[in-house]
Amino acid sequence: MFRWIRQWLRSEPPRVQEDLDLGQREALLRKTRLAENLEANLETLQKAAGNSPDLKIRRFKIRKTSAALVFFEEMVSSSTLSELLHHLQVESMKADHYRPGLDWAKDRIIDNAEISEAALLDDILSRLALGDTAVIVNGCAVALMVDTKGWETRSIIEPTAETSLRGSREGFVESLRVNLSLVRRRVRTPNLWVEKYEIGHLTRTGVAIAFIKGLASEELLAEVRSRLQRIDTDAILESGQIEEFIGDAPFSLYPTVLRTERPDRVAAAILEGRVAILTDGTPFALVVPAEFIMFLQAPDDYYEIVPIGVFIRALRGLAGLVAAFLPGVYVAALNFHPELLPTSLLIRITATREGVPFPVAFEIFFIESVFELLREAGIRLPRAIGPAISIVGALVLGEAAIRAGVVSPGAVIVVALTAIASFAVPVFSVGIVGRLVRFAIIILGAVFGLFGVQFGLLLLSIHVVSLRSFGVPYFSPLGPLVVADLKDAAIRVFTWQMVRRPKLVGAREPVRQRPGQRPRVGREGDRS
Amino acid sequence: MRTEKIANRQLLLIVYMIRSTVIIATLPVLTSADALQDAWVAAIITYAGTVVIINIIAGLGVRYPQQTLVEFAHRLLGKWPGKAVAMLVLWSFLHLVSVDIRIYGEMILSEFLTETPLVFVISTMVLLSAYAAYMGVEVIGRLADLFFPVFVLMVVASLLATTGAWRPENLQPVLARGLGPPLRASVTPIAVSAELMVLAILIPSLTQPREALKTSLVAITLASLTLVLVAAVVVATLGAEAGARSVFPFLRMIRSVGITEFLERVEAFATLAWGLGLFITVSTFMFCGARGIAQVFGVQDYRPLVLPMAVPWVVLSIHSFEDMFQLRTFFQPRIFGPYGLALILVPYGLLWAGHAFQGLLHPEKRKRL
Amino acid sequence: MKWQRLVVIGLLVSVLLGGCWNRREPELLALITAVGFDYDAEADRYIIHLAVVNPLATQAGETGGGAPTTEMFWSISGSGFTPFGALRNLEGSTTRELYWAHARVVIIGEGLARRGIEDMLEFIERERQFRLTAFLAVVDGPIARLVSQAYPLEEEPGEALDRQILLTSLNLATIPPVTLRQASVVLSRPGLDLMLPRLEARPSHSGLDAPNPARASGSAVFSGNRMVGWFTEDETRGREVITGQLRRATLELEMEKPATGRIAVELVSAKTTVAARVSGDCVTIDIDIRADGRIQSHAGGMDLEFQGLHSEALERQVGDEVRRLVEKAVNRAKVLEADVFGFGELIYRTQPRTWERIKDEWPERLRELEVNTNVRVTITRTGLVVEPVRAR
Repeated sequence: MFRWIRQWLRSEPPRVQEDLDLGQREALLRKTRLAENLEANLETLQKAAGNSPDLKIRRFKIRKTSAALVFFEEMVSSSTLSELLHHLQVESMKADHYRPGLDWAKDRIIDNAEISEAALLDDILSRLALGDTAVIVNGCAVALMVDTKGWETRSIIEPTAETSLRGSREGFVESLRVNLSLVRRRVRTPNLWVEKYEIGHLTRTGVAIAFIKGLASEELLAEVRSRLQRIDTDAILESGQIEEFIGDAPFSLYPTVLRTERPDRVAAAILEGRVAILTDGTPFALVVPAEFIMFLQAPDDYYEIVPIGVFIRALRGLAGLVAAFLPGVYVAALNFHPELLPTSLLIRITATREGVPFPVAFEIFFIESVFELLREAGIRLPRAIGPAISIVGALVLGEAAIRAGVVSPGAVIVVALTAIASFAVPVFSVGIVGRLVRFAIIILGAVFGLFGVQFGLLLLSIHVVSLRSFGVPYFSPLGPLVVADLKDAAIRVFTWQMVRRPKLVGAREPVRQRPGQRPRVGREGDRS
Repeated sequence: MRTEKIANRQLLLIVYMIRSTVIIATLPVLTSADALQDAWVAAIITYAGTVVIINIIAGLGVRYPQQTLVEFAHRLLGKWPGKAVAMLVLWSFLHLVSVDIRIYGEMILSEFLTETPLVFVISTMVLLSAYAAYMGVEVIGRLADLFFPVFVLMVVASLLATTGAWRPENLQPVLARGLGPPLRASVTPIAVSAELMVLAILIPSLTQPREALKTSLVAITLASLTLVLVAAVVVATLGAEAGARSVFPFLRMIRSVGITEFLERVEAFATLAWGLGLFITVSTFMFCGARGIAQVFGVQDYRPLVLPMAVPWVVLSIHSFEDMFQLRTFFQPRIFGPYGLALILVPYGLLWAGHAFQGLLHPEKRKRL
Repeated sequence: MKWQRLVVIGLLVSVLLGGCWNRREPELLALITAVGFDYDAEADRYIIHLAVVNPLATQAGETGGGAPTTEMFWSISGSGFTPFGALRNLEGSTTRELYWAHARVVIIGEGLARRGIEDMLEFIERERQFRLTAFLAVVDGPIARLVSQAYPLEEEPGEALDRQILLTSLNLATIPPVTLRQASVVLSRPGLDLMLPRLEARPSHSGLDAPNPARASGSAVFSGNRMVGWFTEDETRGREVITGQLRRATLELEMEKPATGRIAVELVSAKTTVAARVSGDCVTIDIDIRADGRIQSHAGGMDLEFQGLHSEALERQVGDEVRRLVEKAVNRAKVLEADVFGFGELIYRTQPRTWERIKDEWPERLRELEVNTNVRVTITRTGLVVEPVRAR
């Protein structure tokens, strides 16, 4: 088959056929070279791009030779483009160094960053898609590719999925270059190294890993590189897809890769010896290795004073537990262990449950499902209508259901509490796991009571404890216990006390600052 | 495959939890008619006895830090006798722990889920533990790390909750009938320490196997401290006679006190601690059992053996006793004492003899180790 | 991976096959808050009285706005050959499953108390649902009155009696609060007899002047398993002083010299040490009591300077009053042959060998017991005024 195609290709003059399949087209593009004739070249390019209207051709003359600029509309900056044109025309007038062809121009075009030559159709077109402009001259079978990137990007705004009260208001945007600059602006050491990859043979998405050379362990880097290079796919549109390709535990509910929209988080992570993976086209960067505890940490913990940091972190841990276990425990306690509740509370709950047609477990399950539905609807709806849904859901539906005696207030309180708690989990990808786990726990609690809940807890524990993220135990520093790292887990200590980097990722250069920097009044020896 | 290692700290926690869980489960033996208010004395005697046994077990283990019991039994006693001794030890794992699970099941059944069939409670526990054992000793070690604080918190909270109800008079008179009764009462708990033979399989998995004896002694000391405290508090709260009457004195103690009007009947949380401890116990034993069997039969990977092993475990724990009466008779000092002690002393007597013999034969070989 | 799937499937199967054995919907339970046990000698049967909360009434009060249409609780009674049988027989005449875990008081009829409470306590210990923190009391009068009449300030009898027992014992020390756990400890200790609060059952009626159906006063004294008699309020207080359980007790006395007038002293924090001496057949008990008092009221308007001699005289007089209470209690206990003070246990604890020798004849020894009481009372505070009101 292939041989036949090859023979067929060889026999025919290179031209772009319209009825070819994707693989054949790509093979053909990789083979086709530019011709000497300008018009023929332009026609070939236009045909290869399917006469797409956003492929623009600007003809001009260099002395007597006809030439053309080829570029994709809106991918290039118009000012750069006009400068380029100006250069080509003005410089060509200077008689001393003009020669036919393009070689003279390479040294003369100085304002533009990257200049290279390309002869293959495939090369030219893919560079065009990156925002380059091709300069093609009649009588020359090579195109000069000039970097004229300049498309519109979203401006840097506050991250929407990860807000914080204190700290930087900058969030990543869709442009890889801007994102890298956001990181480098925070970490100015020359040892912040960036490696670039191109993943996805159709999308050709730019993916960069950023790390601090000499701090991130070489094994980790090698592992990240090999996992990235192993990816063989046609399209990467979002970092979530990379996450699925490189994650350690694909079947686990728990994410082993941290996703973040915040440059300060990425900076903090690579300063600990982690590796950040930035993807073009998405504001979400990935950080590996990611331990579970990182998903419960928020930037505010570090920017607020220590007692508040400790308090909100403890609160958040509690919220995480409540979000996963409260409805299950409620069902278990009511159905199996009514003796656990204080008498008066039990009487009140019983009173409100009089006439409710569903068993407790079903009731909770039902309200939880309705709530999840509301939440999903609220996210997908346009911003203007979003709040309306919550009003309808919370006020109208809830109130009416209670009034009608279909559900009991107790169950609604529990579900509402759970929902609030689940919003306190700072990272969405873990918050969403809590929602799934919750349903399983409800079922277990409804069947085995608190022992069911305990079995669920055990099962979950075995699972998370057995996970690893790029070689680092997922549940450290709690299981395995890493005493030195507890300083930034359940609690957080003062910044001047965090002398060492996390033991499992920052082992290569463990000390981060001089110990004993507790602030004192005056200098030592000043006091008399 | 990477060899899995656990830190000595994790072994300490595992041994502590194994020991404390068994203690809570077999506490009635301590307080039963023999020792009465001197249960805590019995607990101290138990400590002394356990220290001796730990020295027998771990003492030999640290002399062969890279080998499990199966391997060094093979080396010390020869192929077939070695295998026989190893099988005896492995049998003790199976039997003792199946009894532990049974007690837990009985507790759940008589205190909470009165209508649930025993087999469901037991098989769920065994299945979960088998899963952990399958994931390997590292996972068990991490789980011990994770659960230890919860376990200790629950035990301490249970003890503290009873402070208002202590009647120290219940602890008197001290040793009114001499040392005889507490000595008799400590026979069973000492014999239960046959369970500590898991050390013989776990030592090679340690990061510092030569420190194993020290580690396990620390664990046993902590566990015994817990035992003495629990025994004293149970007697002070319930009275020696009422404590001896109840099937699960520790739970009864918790349910008979109210912390405030809004926090009563919290024994469900204490059983959570028990469940966690038992889970660590069973998964450790399943791991050691499977690993031991794999080595006896020369199988490379123990993992495929775990699930098949869960079956006899469930069966044995359900069918070895018909009812609570038999279970309690089994723990009588005159029955369990000789049985448990034989489980330790027979294999270890042979092994130590072999060790001494080898030492006589090849003194230079010993130096190399 | 295959393994994880197996475990998950195993759990699911056990869930699906298992069903939900012990599941009960909370609204299908009848919450018992007070339990009464009695014994019918003629029929030779145990009688059980229950007060069950009616959640419907709670709901009506909340949402309806008007007066509750139904009573807050429901009272039923039944009988059986064993205490457990009496309970189970009741299930035939209820619509919801009786649930015990929230019972806060267990009251015992005098008939059962005199017959022996062992059976009842044994059943309670065996039954997993019971709360061992519930209070025990003996009822003087028809037991049904306590569980079938409305308590003016409370919703249902369990809560009402629970609070009443706690309050009375705390403020008056005229009853001994005993929980189920304490009762079972006391019953099994050698040389210690049980004493339970006495609840007087009174007829009540509805209306603004409705009396509380129960009055907590005095105590029922047991010898071993059986009730042998009542202690009055004074005797109960005497016992509370001896056992060191007194929290607060008001003593009212007529002052004789140097000034006259009625005076109320509240004892706070009484510390008692008891020692036993056994020589031959003679057992001597030394009781040493140190108590602090506080003047709460001093009627009569006499000129009083609470300094020097005056306060000493008052202290001596209060001390005499305490001694009188103690002696009353001891004398009554001697008559009843019930060692509610734990003198025997004291000997058992401190001199176990002596106890072995005398334990069989302890009731007789108790009767001939020699008790020395030494009381020292200090009046520490006078309240907010120095001198009484003097009308001109």
